[in-house]
Amino acid sequence: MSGLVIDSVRKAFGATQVLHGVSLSVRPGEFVALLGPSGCGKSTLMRIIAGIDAPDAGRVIINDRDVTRAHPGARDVAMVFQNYALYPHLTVRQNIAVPLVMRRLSAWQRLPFLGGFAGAARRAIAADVERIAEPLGLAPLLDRRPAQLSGGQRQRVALARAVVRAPHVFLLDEPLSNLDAALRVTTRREIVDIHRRVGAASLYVTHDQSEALTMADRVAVMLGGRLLQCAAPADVYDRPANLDVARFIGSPAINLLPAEARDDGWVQLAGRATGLATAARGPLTLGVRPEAWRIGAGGWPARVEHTEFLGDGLLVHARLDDHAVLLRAEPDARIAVGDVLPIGFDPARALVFGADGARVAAVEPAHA
Amino acid sequence: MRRGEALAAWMLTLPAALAFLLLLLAPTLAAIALAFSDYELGVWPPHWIGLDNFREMWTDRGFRTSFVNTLVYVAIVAPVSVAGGLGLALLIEGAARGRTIFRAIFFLPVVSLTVAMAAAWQYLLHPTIGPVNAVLRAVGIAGPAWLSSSDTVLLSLAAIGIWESIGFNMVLFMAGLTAIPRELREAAAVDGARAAWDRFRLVTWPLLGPTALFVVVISLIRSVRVFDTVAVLTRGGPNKASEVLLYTMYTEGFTFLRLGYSAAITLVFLVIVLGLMLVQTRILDRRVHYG
Ligand SMILES: Nc1ncnc2c1ncn2[C@@H]1O[C@H](COP(=O)(O)OP(=O)(O)OP(=O)(O)O)[C@@H](O)[C@H]1O
Ligand SMILES: [Mg+2]
Repeated sequence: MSGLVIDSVRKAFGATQVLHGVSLSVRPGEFVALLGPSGCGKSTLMRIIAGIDAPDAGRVIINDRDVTRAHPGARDVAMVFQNYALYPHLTVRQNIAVPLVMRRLSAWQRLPFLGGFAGAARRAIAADVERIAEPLGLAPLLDRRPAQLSGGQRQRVALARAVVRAPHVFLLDEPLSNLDAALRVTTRREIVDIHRRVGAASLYVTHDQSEALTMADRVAVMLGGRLLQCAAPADVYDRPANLDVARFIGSPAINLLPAEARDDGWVQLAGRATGLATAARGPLTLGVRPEAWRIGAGGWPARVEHTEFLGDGLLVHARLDDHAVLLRAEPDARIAVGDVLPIGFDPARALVFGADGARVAAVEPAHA
Repeated sequence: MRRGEALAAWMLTLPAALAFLLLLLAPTLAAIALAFSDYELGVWPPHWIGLDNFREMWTDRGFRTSFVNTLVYVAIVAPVSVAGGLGLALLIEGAARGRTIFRAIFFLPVVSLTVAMAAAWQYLLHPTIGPVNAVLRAVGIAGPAWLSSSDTVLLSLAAIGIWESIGFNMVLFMAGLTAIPRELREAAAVDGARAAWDRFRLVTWPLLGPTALFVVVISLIRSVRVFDTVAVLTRGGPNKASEVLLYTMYTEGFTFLRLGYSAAITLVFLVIVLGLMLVQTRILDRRVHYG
């Protein structure tokens, strides 16, 4: 398969194992978000793909070629660094041209005094730089130095430098983390547009789940150096592979309640029937997203402890027996602290996790 | 309120200002004034003789030899110790192990006392019992009398000068190197700078610019200032072959007691050093800082 394939990559720094055998593949034209909390090894994986660090074990395959031991410059990858890593002494124009100059000109042609002999090649490079700068709005900034640019402009220069030579694999390490909230949302679109234009296999590192869920074709969830799930954003949200993924994805966080499956498969929560059946037996965990709760007659009694107005909704902190539960109500719901609400959930939207933490499918009661 | 603040400011600056006036400015001005007089120790009063001292310098063959010797010395020591310091810094930065020990070894000459080390050099370079010539003899070459032949004395002193300042330059370059973000070199590698030389050209050397400028100026000034090895090892000899600017100034002032003439030489030296510093702050600073 062309694109990017990572096969059982392991990496330790001294005694700390940072990557525990990570496997992942990205097809050409696909945009995969690598999502995980700070320190889980995302940057380490990116550096291994780019060739800046070497893995202890495992392989990196780019466009059907095993590049595990290849030099970064020989891998056909481009990378946008977290702090952009622009060359401070070069103008925007020169910064964007570097990958082309390094690849298209020989060592002799790059010498300052002999450069004149490469006139045609240099003109082609200049044209390519302007072609890539134009749609990013960098045309008026081409002769400035990085220090004379705003954060957002620097970020776009870094993007332009990365894609100017149409790499096969495009790596972005938290490229938006230094931008303010408003700029982040507009730049998301720009990055996805660039990705579509270049058609590279793109891997986008972030610890911001809204970025991952909104931008990516697939989201790879990484926790503690392990890849727990790699699936479409809706699947990661609605069908998390296990408790850790369910806990990590979704804001506000999912409600996880201890429950039990009877011998006939029916799931009971705090001694009451839930209308949910499963193939598992014994103690398990029930996951209910805040928006999956229904308020209405016939539910469990939950006492309201605190409410937060969100604009498009009302977040209710309540207590069901001994468990804190979060539920999302309509913004105009008349709910006050101290109220006792009857709550229930749609069995189709509830998630069941077995004792080992893996999600188990709910089944029709008849087959239980 | 305003006036009180201004007064307090003056009071607080006063000690430093006084020290500057008494210890730096006054002696410098006195030396400048002396340079235009015929003052000799014990001959009072001195006479104002205008540019006579400088005119004498112009025709004084001894001074001219000493000036040319200094230039030759600087032309050898400064480039070699700058390039060597950079080379050592790059080698040590790239070394997988033993950075601290190498850094300490090369920095040792900087912290050791030149006068004491001069004795060691005298032994090393001794024509008959010195290890240098012993090695040369072993491969069949008759080594020269390094410090007492007028053909080799300046070269030998230059070698000692390089040995003294290469470690100093290395430490300055290493400090400059650590200030270069590692990410930039990594970005250069990903951008296709495969050879170490390409990464050096693209990132290391341009970002080392301010450090390099500083090291060059400091090395020039340090080598123009050469004195103690000359005073201890050769006393300007043989036959004035190792006379240098500061040693001439010293002998004129303290041996022949011609303080006016000696002050004029000092003034020439001062102008050279100030000129170098001006080059650094005015012309080149603008070209190597990126803002
Ligand atoms: N060169 C190194 N030496 C030792 N430990 C390292 C090194 N680089 C990274 N680590 C450790 O490896 C772990 C993963 O680091 P990594 O930079 O990959 O995290 P990350 O997921 O990118 O985090 P963030 O979102 O904060 O950037 C961290 O615990 C870090 O301390
Ligand atoms: Mg990181």
